[in-house]
Amino acid sequence: MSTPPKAQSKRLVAAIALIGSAAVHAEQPAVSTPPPASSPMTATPARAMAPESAEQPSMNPEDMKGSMQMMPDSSAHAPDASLERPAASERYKPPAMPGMDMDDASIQHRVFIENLEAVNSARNGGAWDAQAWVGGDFNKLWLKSESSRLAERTEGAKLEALWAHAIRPFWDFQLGARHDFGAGPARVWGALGIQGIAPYWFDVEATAYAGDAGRTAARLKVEYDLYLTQRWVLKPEVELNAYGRADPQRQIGSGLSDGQFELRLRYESTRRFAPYVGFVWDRKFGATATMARSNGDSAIDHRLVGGLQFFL
Amino acid sequence: MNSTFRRGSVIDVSRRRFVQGLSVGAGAAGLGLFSPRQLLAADSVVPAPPTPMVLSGAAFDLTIGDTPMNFTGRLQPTTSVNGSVPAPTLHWREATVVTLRVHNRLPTSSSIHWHGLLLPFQMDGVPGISFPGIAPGETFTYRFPIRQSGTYWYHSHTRFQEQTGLYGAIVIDPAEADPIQADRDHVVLLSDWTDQNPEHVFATLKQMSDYYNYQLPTAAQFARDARTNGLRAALDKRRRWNRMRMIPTDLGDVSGATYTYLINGASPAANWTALAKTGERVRLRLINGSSSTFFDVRIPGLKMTVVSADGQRVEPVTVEEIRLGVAETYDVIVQPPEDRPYTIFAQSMDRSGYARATLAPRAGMQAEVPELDPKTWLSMTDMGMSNRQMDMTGQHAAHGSSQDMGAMQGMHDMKGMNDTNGMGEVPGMSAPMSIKDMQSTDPAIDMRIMHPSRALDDPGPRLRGNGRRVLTYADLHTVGGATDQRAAMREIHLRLTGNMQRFIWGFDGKKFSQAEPIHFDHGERLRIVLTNDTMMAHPIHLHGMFGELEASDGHVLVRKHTFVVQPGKQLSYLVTADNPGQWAYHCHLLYHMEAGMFREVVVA
Repeated sequence: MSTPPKAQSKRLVAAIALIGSAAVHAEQPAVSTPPPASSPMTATPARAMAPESAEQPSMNPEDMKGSMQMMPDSSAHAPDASLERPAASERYKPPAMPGMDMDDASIQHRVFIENLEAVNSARNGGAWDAQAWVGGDFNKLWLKSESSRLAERTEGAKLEALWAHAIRPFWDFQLGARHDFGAGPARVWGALGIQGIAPYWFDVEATAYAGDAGRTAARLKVEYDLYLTQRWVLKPEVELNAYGRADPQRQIGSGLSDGQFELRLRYESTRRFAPYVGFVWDRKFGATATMARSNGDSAIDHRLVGGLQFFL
Repeated sequence: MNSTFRRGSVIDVSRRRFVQGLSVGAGAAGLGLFSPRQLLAADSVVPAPPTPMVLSGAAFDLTIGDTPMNFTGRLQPTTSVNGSVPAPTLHWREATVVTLRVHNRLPTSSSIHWHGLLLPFQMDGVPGISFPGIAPGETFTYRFPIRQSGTYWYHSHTRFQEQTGLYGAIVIDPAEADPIQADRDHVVLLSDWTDQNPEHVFATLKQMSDYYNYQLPTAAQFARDARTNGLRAALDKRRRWNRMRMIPTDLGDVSGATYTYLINGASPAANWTALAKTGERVRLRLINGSSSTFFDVRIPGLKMTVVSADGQRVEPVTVEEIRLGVAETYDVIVQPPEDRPYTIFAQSMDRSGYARATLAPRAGMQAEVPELDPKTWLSMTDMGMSNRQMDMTGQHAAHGSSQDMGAMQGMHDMKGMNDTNGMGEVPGMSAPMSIKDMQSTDPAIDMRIMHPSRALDDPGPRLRGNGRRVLTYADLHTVGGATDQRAAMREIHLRLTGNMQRFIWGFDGKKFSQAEPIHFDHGERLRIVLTNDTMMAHPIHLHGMFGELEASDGHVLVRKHTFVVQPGKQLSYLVTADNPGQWAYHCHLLYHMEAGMFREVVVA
């Protein structure tokens, strides 16, 4: 099958001459050497379309000759500069055709109720942690909300609205605002963070916040889905919160304020819907712990939880 | 977003019925008259399953509708042609002119694309590129000369109508006597069916791309591995995958978790049957008309002689198994030596299910159905890791395609080292390519292959070293060789890229909506080089022109309309841009195409 390089280069020169002649007769379509007539693949153009411009980039026959001997081995095909040039028809614009239904920039959404649970502890109650997004592949609007209501008291209630922009294959940059409500005066923060998947499949959210009166805060959440089987999943989760300055009205001291270690075992009846049971170990640190104790609260709280994880 | 129908979003039917389907496949018009309950009652009897109707001649009326049908126990809307799923088989003759009046009775726009047919671009049936589509209630008349013969197929090119049933076979008789002689001639049209609305499937993949993957690496497997091979080996096997955030069982997006696999519209339980007497030469026209499933087809007890690929005659080559990429077609000749039934077994590449039919001397017979093959992990070869290691696996693959089956069996254990060990380092070999080299900063690209292999004799993941003689592209030689003896005047390099986690797919990191058309000069001979930077095999289809696959020494192997580029591999083919107009060029995995793995090609 292989043709001697000499014959190839001859054929090439002929081909170049052919294109050259096409360039001269720009209004005529550049018709190639027809394949053998016996072939079932012989093409008869149904409608010849003359290129608007038949400018031909210069081609150096010597370069081309070299390129004809390429791919002698099974190693990867190195791009050949002499062959990688734009088509002469580059400036031809096909007539606009209505009806394109490809929708690769469609707006999608996901409402993920990560935890919706009943809490059994010294103070019984319930809690939720939910995230929703709507948007395209590279830009999304995220809403995040979490709160717990234990012994008739709402704690750690947050709502965040963030613009998420894909900056790396596994990471989003996030920019937005956070609203804290529940016990104590409400607080509003600007938020800046990253969210994504770290190597070894850790889901990571790291966010920095700046509020009024020079308040700052930081939050880190890391979780991991450990598939025991195709349907039983153990999910450990760690969350840490820190504050730049004390906010006594909300029972927050400066520095590392609180952390949760959570462990949930869920059963995915589908990937969409999974009941779970779990354990939450909630601990306040430093000045925040001191404040809690002085109010007669415990700095450490253990809770048994049971609930549902699902997304829509 | 999932406007029309939202049913079927929960996979709750019994798994067995789900995967096996009903014993009554749909496929015939009027099935909508039966209630699902009646159909379920028929589960115990096995009636002769219907075969798609055959329409012959030169003028056709095809009516696209939404006939409800039942493949799994639930009546579901479909996209039918003349009330049938699959659409009727169209029987044409070379060197005639066919006229097809296509009537759209759907409430939405529709289209039909004639896959692999060389025709004027206005007849190619891609909305927004060849024509504006067929509006509800409208009729579009396709009319074109037939300049080829062989096995092809047709399908809708509008949204997900192919998934909901608009696909059918095309059989074209040669103008002269058929050089392929056979006593029997059967179309074997493979497809995947889901009761879910495919718009919902697509939205689900965007929400959670591994939603349908029920072979994720588990702690239970890890424990077993650690016991068998030691803790260190078990950790090594997983380290690279986990560092790269890749799933080693990511062979397909949509699986048997929602799919029922069909042959000629019949589920495995319905057992479509091809009749053939002992010793007869039977031509099976294998067509993969599925939306998202590669099938590995074999007929235990029979060898298959491949005589045609994508409608183009090839030098006969005898094999035991064929991987059929989405949109590929192969004609094979089989000759049953005994008076007994044979199972046509088509397992999905991800081993999550299978389609099954029977080749038998009489109706109502069935043979043993093999077990699904093991769900081995992707290997270093599939990651384009370190050339030297790849060559070694390449050699194994070459053995796999040699005639020496006995030796192959013996190598099984050694294969296990590479295949099941996944990406773990193999002692005594050069260090694999570093993960850093493979990573990208572009959010649309989750990995890059630095040193892709150009091996064409690799049967691909989950087929290597299985002890069977598996067809590879290296085995295919188009009768008559290249149609155009000119060398390439120009090269177009495209990388197949994606981000599995985000379910973004494209070429060179760009989706269709982000990219300009690709230009071919009318009449030029050009080389297209495709490099697969993903872990999935992509069937890449150019409309309007065939490509001629190049062997590593540059000679032309086989002429095809759809080329499967295996993970971590590169292939190149030559195209003569002899068909002016606008054309689609895309990955034929429907969900990848709709996600943007699509380009317009302009030939001018």
